[in-house]
Amino acid sequence: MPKVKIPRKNISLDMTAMCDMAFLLLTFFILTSNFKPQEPVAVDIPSSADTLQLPKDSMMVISLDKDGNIFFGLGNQNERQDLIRLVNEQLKLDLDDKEMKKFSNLETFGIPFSQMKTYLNKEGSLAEGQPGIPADSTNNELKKWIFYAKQVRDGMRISIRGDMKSSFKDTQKIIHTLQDLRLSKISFVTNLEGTPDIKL
Amino acid sequence: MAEINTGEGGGKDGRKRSKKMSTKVDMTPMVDLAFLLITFFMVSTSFTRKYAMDIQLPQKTQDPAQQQKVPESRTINLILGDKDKIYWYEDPKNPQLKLTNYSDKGLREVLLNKRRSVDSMIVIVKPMGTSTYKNLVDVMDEVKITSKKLYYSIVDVSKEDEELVSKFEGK
Repeated sequence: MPKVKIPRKNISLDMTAMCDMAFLLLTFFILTSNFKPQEPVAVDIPSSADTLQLPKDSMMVISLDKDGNIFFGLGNQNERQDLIRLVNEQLKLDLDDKEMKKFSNLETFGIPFSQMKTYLNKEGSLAEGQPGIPADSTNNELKKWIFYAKQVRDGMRISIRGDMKSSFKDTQKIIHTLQDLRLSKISFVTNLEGTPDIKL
Repeated sequence: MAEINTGEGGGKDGRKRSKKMSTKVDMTPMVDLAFLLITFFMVSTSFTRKYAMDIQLPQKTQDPAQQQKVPESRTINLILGDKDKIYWYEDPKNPQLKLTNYSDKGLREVLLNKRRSVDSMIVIVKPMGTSTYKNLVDVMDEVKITSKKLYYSIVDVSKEDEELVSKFEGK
């Protein structure tokens, strides 16, 4: 075979256009993703084989940490503003606009009504040190929050994010509160685990 | 492919001569990086969707006579105790308490046996105050895996059930 030397030509392709397009796509995806909000409580959720995925629209989240503190959250900021305005006038919490705005920045909160005004005027990050919403039969503030959230938008999905180690006594408080409000359809937020094979 | 062309600076050594460098920059690694970041964001926004398990709580009725009557032969009662123990019995009139756990051979076998004997079983879950949230989620998970039609109910532990458990443990 004759040795044919293929003359090597230098082909240069201008990649600038490709790079521009790539960065435009990247910007699009960054802007359409949302940051995870800072949460006041660390919740270790259990896993389950249920493959139901939560829909994107906003829902009520009742979080329960392992010490039994209850936190309430709403996904949508506008709904949070409506909620705090409604709660402010119905329960006469005496909050001004600045405090209500600060409240609507918290996606999840666990502040009793009595401490609300002092807490919202606190300096620094509001995320730490929240004591939790009481849900005892004598003072069930959680019931009021759920009731007013239902008035903001009826038919909102209710989900419970509980820690693996939280005691059932505290879960039972939440369940009784929901039963008192005649709400029976709820969801437990879980991590996904593999579905096992069942041989009948 | 884009390349950097260095000027042919074939000058004599020692002689100060400015090399003419071409200003073309190879964009390929930049584009690679950009696409990697895009892929990362595309995938991570779909990962943040949480999974959930739908539960139906029973309605609270004041009048026990209004509660739906269920045929007791199809029921199985699960009492969730502390330290991941599950006590179960089938016949409420003559409850023989048995112990099982959350392993594959434990609760799942019990529920599958019940399903083999009765076609559509009704599971009554009674968590005690000492059980954890994880226990409840795991039990609901097993009920959903082993049942075709989901008939279940989460109720409070009654005094009789508590006595049964303490009698069982006291042995």
